[in-house]
Amino acid sequence: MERDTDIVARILAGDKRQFGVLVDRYKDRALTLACRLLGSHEEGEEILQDAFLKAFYALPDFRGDARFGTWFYRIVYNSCLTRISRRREPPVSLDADKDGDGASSLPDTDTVSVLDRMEEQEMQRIMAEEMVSLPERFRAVLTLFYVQEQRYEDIAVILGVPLGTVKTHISRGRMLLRERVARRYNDTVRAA
Amino acid sequence: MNDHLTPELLQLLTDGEIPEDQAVAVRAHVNSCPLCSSAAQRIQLFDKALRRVPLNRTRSRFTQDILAQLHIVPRASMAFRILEHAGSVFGVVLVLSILLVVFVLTRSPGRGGEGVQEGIGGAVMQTMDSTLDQGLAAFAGWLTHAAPQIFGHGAIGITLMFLVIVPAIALVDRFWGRKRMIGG
Repeated sequence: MERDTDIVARILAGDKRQFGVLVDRYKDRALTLACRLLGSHEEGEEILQDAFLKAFYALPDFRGDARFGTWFYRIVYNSCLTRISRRREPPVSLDADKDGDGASSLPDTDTVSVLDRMEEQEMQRIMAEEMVSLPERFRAVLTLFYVQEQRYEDIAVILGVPLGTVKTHISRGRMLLRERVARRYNDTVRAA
Repeated sequence: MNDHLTPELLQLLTDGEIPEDQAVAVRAHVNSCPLCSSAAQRIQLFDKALRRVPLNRTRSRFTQDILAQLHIVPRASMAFRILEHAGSVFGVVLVLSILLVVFVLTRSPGRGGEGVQEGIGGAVMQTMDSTLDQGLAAFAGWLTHAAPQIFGHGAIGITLMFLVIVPAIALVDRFWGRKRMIGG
């Protein structure tokens, strides 16, 4: 697979059609990020379309010291934040380190034993549903880590927050998700 | 490392966020300690499931639309879009027609006078046969009545229709539709 930087170089040299390769490469993962942040597929596609247009016009400013993916996801993330702020919802603050989410840093024994009993497909299904209901700061980091497969340092760059914040949020977000998945599974078993 | 590893450390190992020299030692402990090995497996299972949660998918023409908005490729005209789908519809119709012809040519040995099928199977085949005949006759009658200029001469009319309409759409698309670009 051709490297992103080579494709960018060809676009800047005049072969603009190559931008389609980058769009194809990033569209679904970026859309997943946008949809999880905005909670709407339609809005997600709209934001993503704008983000690709912005990225294209900003390509001459892309210096290549970060990976293209990191640079592009930052555009998508900022576009999502702008959209959320227009909704007049409370702004997302990834620096806010409140514990109002109820996530501890360690899984309790019950959670571990419930997850052990679950089938992988069932776990995936419940995860997909529960992911959307996580607090936004956790949704963003978990999606960037697991879907966009970004490293901690790159996530810090994309979100514009310290590395420590990323580590904390990934750890707490994951724990909260584990607890919620286990709780949902228990509820399903009880109801059956 | 005599003590057990913390879940945080095991998670960092799974995340690939431990420097390689430390990771070697941590992996060695995990391999030799059943308890830590079991804890690491649980973490990996959860992570694997999380990585496999299905992605959201963009609409089929998403990339083309972006390139069109950037004036890199012309925007597809309505004619092009119809033609794009006409291809698949035409393919399905063609396959169904071939199947129908094969069915009609090979059906019911009783019609040729070589013998009559007996039992429930034979009765079902004969019923299907007669229903098919009636259906085809009714459909052909309706087509002839609705558009006698095209369908009056049977299958030749239908073939001619495809031979004329499909290239016509292609020509319209080539010389008119695809020249239109957003903002152009």
